[in-house]
Amino acid sequence: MIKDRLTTRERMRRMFAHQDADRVPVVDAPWASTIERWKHEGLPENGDYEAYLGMDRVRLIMADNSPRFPEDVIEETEAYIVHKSRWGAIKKDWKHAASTPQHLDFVVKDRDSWEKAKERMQPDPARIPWDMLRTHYKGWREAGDWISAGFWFGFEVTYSHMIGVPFFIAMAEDPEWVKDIVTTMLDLSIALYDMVWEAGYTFDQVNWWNDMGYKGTSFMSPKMYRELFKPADRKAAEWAHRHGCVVHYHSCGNVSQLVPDLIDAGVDMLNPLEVKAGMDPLALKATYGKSLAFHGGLNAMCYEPPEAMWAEMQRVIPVMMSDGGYVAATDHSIPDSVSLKQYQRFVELAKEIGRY
Amino acid sequence: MGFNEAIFDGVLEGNMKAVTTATTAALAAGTAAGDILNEAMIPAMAEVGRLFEINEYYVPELLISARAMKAGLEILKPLLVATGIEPKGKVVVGTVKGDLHDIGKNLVAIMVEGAGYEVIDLGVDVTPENYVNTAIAQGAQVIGLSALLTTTMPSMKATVEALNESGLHGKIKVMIGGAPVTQKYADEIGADGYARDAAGAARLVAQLISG
Repeated sequence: MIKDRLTTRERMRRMFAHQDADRVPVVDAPWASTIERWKHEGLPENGDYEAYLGMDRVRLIMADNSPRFPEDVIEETEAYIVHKSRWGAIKKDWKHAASTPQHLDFVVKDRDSWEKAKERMQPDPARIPWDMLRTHYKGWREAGDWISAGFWFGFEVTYSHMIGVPFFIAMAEDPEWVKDIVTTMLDLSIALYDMVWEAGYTFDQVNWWNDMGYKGTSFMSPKMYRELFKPADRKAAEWAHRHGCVVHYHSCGNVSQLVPDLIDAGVDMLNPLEVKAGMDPLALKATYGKSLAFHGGLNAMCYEPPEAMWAEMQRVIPVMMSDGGYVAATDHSIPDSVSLKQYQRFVELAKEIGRY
Repeated sequence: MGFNEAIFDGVLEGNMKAVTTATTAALAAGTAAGDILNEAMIPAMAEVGRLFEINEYYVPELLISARAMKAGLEILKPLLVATGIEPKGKVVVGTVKGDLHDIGKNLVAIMVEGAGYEVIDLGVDVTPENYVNTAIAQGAQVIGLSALLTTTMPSMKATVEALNESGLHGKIKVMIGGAPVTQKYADEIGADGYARDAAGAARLVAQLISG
């Protein structure tokens, strides 16, 4: 295997600048159940698959901008746990299988309960993982890791983690409330990361997760995205760019029709390019490749049989990596049907095909 | 504007108040509950479905339209029951065993109910046996299976097999949908149909029941 010439940080910088590097970065994430499987197949007990597999490292700083409702376990069995999150979602999660959670109830249901939650969302240094930063930050920088600040605001966190289906109704009938929620979340993120930055813990990237699509289309129209969510996305991107950071935007599902607005808002890289939902990485590269970098797009449905994934990688990576602007990854999370050995080959092949 | 037109427009606009006002007025004027349902509400939701399929309506618009129709339907229900008007059929829906995702299934339930069918929603993490037993007990004609994950799709095959074992596959049909699901997979496992989205599911139910 050819030795890497660059650190992850150097490599990622070049990808965002649409330049060649030594190879494409490989940044990917398995489900928790996948890591459990891999531990039985030789992955060390600490679960550090990135070190074991020689992948690129993105280090995440995550300040807590939630209402910090008391977290509580409501029911727990061998198979699942029902718990209340700090966002006020009561949800059921499988303990040993991959799945999105089932949302059972939410603390925030309307404007009144939102106002009470809002009172709890104040900038406080206690929301920042200072101990983690003091312990690890210097090592991250010395190792040349890519460091990302995780904002969390927008459609998905509100719908999935805070309010549920009534949020869709609010999007249609109470846009001012929606904008208040989104702005409050973002402004708190900004206040917290101002503290992090001013304390000397600078970072390379700002990322946020905002799943706005599903199979075939987006949850909302482009017009509604522009009115309700784009102003906050733009504000977050402007904050990132003022600090010399790039913007990494995660949005599952088919968000193709929102891409022009995301670029206009200031997004630099889009992830995960979910193929089964209808995203076409090659078409996106052809149309937007000069203005947008991409992360993902390797169809998880192709893992079985393995040869299908190898063929898909040969088809996709050479196109996506031209003129930089690409980070190789599965188009969502690595399923637990994939063995450690198979994924090891995935990483090796991504590096081989992805060599400049 | 006639009452049916006001109800139709109210559903399309997601205007709950307009729908309940017009429904009450229509009944007071002597319009039969069944006529309001079949000539205004169901066509309105069919139009919502059409707009949803062509990406003019999205989930927020669909939900407020469904809410408006439901509000009108609540007024009609006792009258429909009293006059012996029954739903066009019964459909059992759920997300398959091991899967906790429900938004897709919920949208299907809304559109199928909006098309005039009774929906029995089993929720999430539904076993093959539960689907089949419920369909038999409730006299349902269609079972609708939803899955978000590739790892839970095998439960769709298991449900078809359970229905085959009951001897009632044919009398009860199976339709499937969800993010990783395709027509090809539906054909492979012997399902009777695949729906790409919630509006398509409502049309598929009509096709499967009419035979």
